[in-house]
Amino acid sequence: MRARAGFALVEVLITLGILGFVTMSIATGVGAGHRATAAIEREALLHARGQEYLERLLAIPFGRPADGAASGAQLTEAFDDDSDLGTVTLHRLRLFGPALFEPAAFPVAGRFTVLVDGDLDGNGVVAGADEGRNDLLRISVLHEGRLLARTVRFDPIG
Amino acid sequence: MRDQRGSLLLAVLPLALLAGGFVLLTTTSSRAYLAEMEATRRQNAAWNEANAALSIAQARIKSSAYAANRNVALAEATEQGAEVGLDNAEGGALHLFAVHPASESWVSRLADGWYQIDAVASVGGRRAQVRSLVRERDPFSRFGAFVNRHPLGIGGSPKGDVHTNRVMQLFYAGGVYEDAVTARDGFEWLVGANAGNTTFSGGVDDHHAAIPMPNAAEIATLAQYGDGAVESLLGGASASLFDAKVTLRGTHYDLLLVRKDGTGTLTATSLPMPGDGVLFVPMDLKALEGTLDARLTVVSTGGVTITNSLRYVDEAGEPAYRNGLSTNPDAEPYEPNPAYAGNASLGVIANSHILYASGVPTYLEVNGFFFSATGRYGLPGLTFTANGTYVTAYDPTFKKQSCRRYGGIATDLRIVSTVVNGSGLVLSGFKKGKSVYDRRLLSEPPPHFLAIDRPLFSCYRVVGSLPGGEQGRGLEGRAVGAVERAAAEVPQ
Repeated sequence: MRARAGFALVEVLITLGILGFVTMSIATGVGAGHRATAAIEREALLHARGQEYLERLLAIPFGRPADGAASGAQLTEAFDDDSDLGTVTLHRLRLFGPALFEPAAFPVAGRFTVLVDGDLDGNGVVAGADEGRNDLLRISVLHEGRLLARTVRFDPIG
Repeated sequence: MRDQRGSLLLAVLPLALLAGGFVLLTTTSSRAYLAEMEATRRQNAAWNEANAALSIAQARIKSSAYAANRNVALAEATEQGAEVGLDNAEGGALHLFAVHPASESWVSRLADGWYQIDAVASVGGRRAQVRSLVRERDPFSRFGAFVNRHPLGIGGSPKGDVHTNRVMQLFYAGGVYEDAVTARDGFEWLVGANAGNTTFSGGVDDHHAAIPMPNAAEIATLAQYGDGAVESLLGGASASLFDAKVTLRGTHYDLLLVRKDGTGTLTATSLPMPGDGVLFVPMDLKALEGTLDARLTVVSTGGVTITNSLRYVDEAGEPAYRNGLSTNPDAEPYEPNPAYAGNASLGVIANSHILYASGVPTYLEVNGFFFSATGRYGLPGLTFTANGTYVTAYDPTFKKQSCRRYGGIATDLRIVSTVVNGSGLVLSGFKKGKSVYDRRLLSEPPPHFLAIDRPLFSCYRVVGSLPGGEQGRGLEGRAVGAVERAAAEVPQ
């Protein structure tokens, strides 16, 4: 009888160990999964929003090189939650310089930057081929300094 | 009891395996989600880069010089294509620019005066290809209104590009310009208009390069496309002794040559439309009227007088636009006629003025594109100040009810259909007017119509958006037409 009781105790201990290990693995796995999913969703949201801002910039008119810099109200109108882009133009944004804003009710913290310039290759100098023209502008969208989307737009008129 | 040893462990083992499987499933699912998100991001990036490459290629073509009516960049791109060894079945091609190490663009010649630009980019194994057509020279018929040496006054919601080589006078608040508005000497905001209450949707440039007007010599070159009907009727007599009158009758026309000294006429009736679509009249055209069911360019080396309506009417008698001759224009809108089955297009080119005759009907409709190289379009009897800003004399007896136009106008001097005083009272011209730009003139100008040395880009579309290729090395497999996909498949 003693011997049988001893074996039972070992079994119970091993079983408890396995159960503990399994429980910890599940907890760790689920936690990591949640964190990974949250991170992926955050990235997806950021890139989707970045692409959306880029497409707004593809939709607004070029305007005229003589236009003044965009006002705060024009920037707000262009990047608020409705589809009305207001009266801002690409040349107004170019003159404004990097425009930083934090959208309301966006689940990812941090500021977006919208940049319109003539530095087509992004090397910090507007001196390369095709650079510095009024009818060719690079548009970039960044989040906390990290590039989300960029392209170059051409004005067939100006 | 000994037989039950290990049974607890055996019971726990499947549970452990099940839990392990669950963890594995969770991580696999997360990885798949991550891969999908990353693929979408790369696809967007590839699309953006391809658009960038296309934009730069277009800019280079736009800024290129012209030699003998040919765009140098397009000519070089297609001529050097074979030398650089690019594989393109439709003609030569040339790498124009790479804004990103994995993007590239090239040009193919499709037909005389027509080219195609393709741009492709590959980012992280995702590839996108976009395309645009280029017409090497831009026909003058692209303008809703064009004025060379006088200001161009405009307001409301006009369609079609508007341009002047002088000052653009923009009238009234709330103007909406759907197409390009360009002027060499800037904009003048009048009667409540300003930059804040005016919308330019189609591009704007108030210091645009001057667009040169074709001169008499260029107009004379159109004689090569004429069918010789006038010369045949003259029978060797000098054209300088005659004026012409033309009546359009659907797919035929009547031609009347009248001796200037009143001593006789020469008549030919029911002539077929010219084979090359050009009726060349080497004299003043003193009367032009009728209905058209064909594509025709009427060229006069002098001036043209519109004596009655000029209308597109198809074989069944349906006009291109409804209510063109309405006697109640306030209640009956000028609108497209869905029953119209024709494809008529009239171009009128004159070296001098194109004017309405004093005796035109009080309700008039004019369809067509009118080009005056050294004169103006509109009312008879007008004179202007030297800069064209003000009317100095007008014909007070020319008072009509309505003129509805479908087409466009390009002139050297000011376009005037109505003269009003400060109170809005009509002093001369039409009390009611309506102008609608004929967008078919963009893609199908009248036969052999005059053109400008500048490219026109059109028909942008997404050709392909596919996985494939490594960073910077996904371009080898490009074959025009081989990766056709609907734009809807591109992750936006």
